[in-house]
Amino acid sequence: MVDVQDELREQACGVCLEKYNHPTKLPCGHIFCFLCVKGIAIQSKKCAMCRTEIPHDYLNNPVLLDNIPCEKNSTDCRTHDYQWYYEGRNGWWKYDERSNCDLEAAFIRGDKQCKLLLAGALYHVDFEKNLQVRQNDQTRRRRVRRDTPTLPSKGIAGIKTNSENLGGEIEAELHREHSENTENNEEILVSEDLNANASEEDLISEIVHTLSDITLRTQEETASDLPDTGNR
Amino acid sequence: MAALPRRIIKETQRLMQEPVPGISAVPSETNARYFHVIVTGPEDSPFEGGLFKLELFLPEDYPMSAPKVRFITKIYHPNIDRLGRICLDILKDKWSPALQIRTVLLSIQALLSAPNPDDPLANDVAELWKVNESEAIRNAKEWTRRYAMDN
Repeated sequence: MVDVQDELREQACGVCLEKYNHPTKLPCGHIFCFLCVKGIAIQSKKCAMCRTEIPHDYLNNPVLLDNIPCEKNSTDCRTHDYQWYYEGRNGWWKYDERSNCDLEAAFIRGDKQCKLLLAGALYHVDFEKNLQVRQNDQTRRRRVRRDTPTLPSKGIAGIKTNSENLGGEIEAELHREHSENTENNEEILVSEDLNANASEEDLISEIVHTLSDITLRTQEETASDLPDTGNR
Repeated sequence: MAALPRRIIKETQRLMQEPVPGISAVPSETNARYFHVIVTGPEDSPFEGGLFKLELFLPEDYPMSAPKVRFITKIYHPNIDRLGRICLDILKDKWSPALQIRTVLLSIQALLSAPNPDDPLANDVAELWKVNESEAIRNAKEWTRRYAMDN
């Protein structure tokens, strides 16, 4: 396992041409960065190497080969004092290491905004409004924040990291751009539900959490977050 | 404003440091996504000896979508029309983000060696290529001499 990971660290991803960032294995056996996989799974829906179709539900259960946050990969970046986050359902996600470097560099330069190519889609991060907006669908926006790396977060770039998880399990989840008014309210409701349950047995609250997570996921999947499939 | 994506920087550097024989691609000074390209006509093809200018543009969502490539030099080829547009599957539905500028240009060079009149873009050229290949090849050589050899 360690050997495989060491080996992976030396190789380059066929999509971004950089060292693997959260290497993820497709059913055909080809490996790309998690965000690169997300891009091709959403856009061409085919493996970039062999064109084998990627199962439509692949991103619900991606095969991640490396559960170590790979700060070692971003050796060209010295931004560990600050971490950029975007808002998700009941919590904040860390941006992946590369986007974090780009955001921090632009912010330090005094830019008003930063353009990011995330999973094949273009986003503008507005530093004055602290908002991330998708270029081809302006209704898809998320709040962003710059904070210390220790802020409690859901994970990195859609890869959920449970600190008290079972056997290092990593659960990845689709990015979902929330239009601020609707879905964020939904989120708040969910987290209030959870808080109400917090006084009860941990197990129950755990189950409720999982269930509401699953329900939300199913709803959102049918609502479809995929690009080029119509706007809200 | 927008920093150039690392992948584009990486590809550009490699194109400069390890150029592909017979192909040169130089980014424009004003737009790092726009490349001035020169492809030499392959040996044993009617385009041999010619230097063909092309333009290549990397769209904003590259490499998720394919580069836009066009011949600037006039060329007599069944899969390239009079506007220089190229009929090549990897530039359309067979694009993959694992392909690169260099692989695209190699494919275009290979297309010069292997015209495919059954999938034409320039219909009159393709027609002649099918019914009278030797005359078509003569035309291609003549166009190469006329348009692709005077610097």
